[in-house]
Amino acid sequence: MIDYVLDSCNHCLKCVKVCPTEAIRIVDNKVVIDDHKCIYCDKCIHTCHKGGLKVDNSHMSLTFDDYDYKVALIPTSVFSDFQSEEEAKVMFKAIEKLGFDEIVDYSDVEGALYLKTIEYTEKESKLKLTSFCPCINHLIKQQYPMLYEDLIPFDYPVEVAAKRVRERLKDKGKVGIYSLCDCVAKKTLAKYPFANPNSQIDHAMSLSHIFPKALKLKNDETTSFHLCQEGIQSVVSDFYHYGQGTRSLVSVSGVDHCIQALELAEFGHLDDIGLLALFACQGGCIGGRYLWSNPFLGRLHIDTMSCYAQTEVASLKEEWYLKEHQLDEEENMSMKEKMRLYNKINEILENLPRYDCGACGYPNCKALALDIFYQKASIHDCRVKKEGNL
Amino acid sequence: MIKVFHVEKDDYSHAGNVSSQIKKELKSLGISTQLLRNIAIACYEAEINLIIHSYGGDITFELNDEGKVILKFDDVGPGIEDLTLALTPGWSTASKKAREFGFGAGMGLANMKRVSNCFEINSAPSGTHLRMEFFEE
Repeated sequence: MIDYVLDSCNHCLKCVKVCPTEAIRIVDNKVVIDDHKCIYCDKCIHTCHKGGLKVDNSHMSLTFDDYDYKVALIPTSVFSDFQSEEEAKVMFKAIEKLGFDEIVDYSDVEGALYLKTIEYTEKESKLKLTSFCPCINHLIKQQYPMLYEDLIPFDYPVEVAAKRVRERLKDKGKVGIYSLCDCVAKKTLAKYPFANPNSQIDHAMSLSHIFPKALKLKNDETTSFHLCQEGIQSVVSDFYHYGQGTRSLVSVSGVDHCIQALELAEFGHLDDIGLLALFACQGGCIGGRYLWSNPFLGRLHIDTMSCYAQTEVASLKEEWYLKEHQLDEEENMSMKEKMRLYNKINEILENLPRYDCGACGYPNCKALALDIFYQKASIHDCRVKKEGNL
Repeated sequence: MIKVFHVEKDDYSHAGNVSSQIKKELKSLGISTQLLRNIAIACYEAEINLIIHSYGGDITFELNDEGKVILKFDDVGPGIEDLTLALTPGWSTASKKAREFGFGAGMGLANMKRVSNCFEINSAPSGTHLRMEFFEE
């Protein structure tokens, strides 16, 4: 879903090395991302100084005709980009004028799930993990599977918001829901162009893609917004120690910090904690790369907007948000077979230099060994070995 | 396959590094999540014990052909005075420094015994030797 859009890359390996899940290879001077491994954390996009990595946006004018009624969903984090109430009202109107019948800011849904998460933790006795961030959920599923069932069994706020909108607008004919996104991971949830048939969101676009278009339509006209205090707390990762209850809450933001925390959680070292709130972006959703401001000033802006947070948290039906997180069936391979495979890959690895230099385009020697085993690469791809044999 | 890692006394800043490497290795093998959880917990607790209580020692990670995981922890002293007490949940002799780092709750050996399929320990002033086996039942 993250695509390489340039003709060739200069093999600087920055993206290969920065990827926390080793999802990137450079093959024939092109960046290739394994969609099964990618967690959409956006580190590679950020690190590519040529700007070669992009995520598709849905096309508004080409898709608007498919629907009778079009809704734009706007996340709470967008308020970190506004410095006044007026600015927010004017921008919301400008976004509406792009051709939407309605814009829905779902701060009240984010706030409701934030409170429900704390309530849920209070009833449990073991460590729970928040399930707000799609990137973190992918990370846990893939790299920390033994913690996957400890995720709070809720769906993403944006999906819940979409379900709620659909129910309210069921008499409006064919409703098209467009999610305006603050981050890469949220964008990849949508039905189009990302092939998630079960999503309630039809299309996704980044906020940074929409803002310049909306700015052109901006004038004195305004519309109201519905900001909710708990929604703000949710997107700035504001989980303070004991919330309203007796169980301790710990907030972690930034992929690297989350990985550090998940490592400890796997060792059972965090078992005394009630809830780990995990956000892939620095400072919570306000650190999303599709927002204009940085998370530091953004925090100031969104906190300043708190005085306009007059909306109560949404009342949600359980069927809208309850969602179990269960791993897919484990592969039916016997321990003996696994051992045989493991030993073969290690045999190949023994023959590689194990400097993990990355010159072959793989993040490390083990990744190359794995592809040599599956005959997708050859031992001659190793530059160190090649030079040594000259 | 056998790998040996050395652990220094009082090296709090690297606490858990060996366990992380072993865990990573086992993930690439693809063992079941329950088994992985047990090994991770036991290995981490034992590694921390080496750092907090011992004069340093070695961790041996063995993966035999039947897929059994064997972990050995051999230190050079000072030994555990009363093994029966040390195996009692909640019993701890950890220093204030260790507790400040969040270690030393006194569940270490009891937890290891609980999660391993086979647990052997012997201790003398010259060193403590701990051996644990893990396998799918």
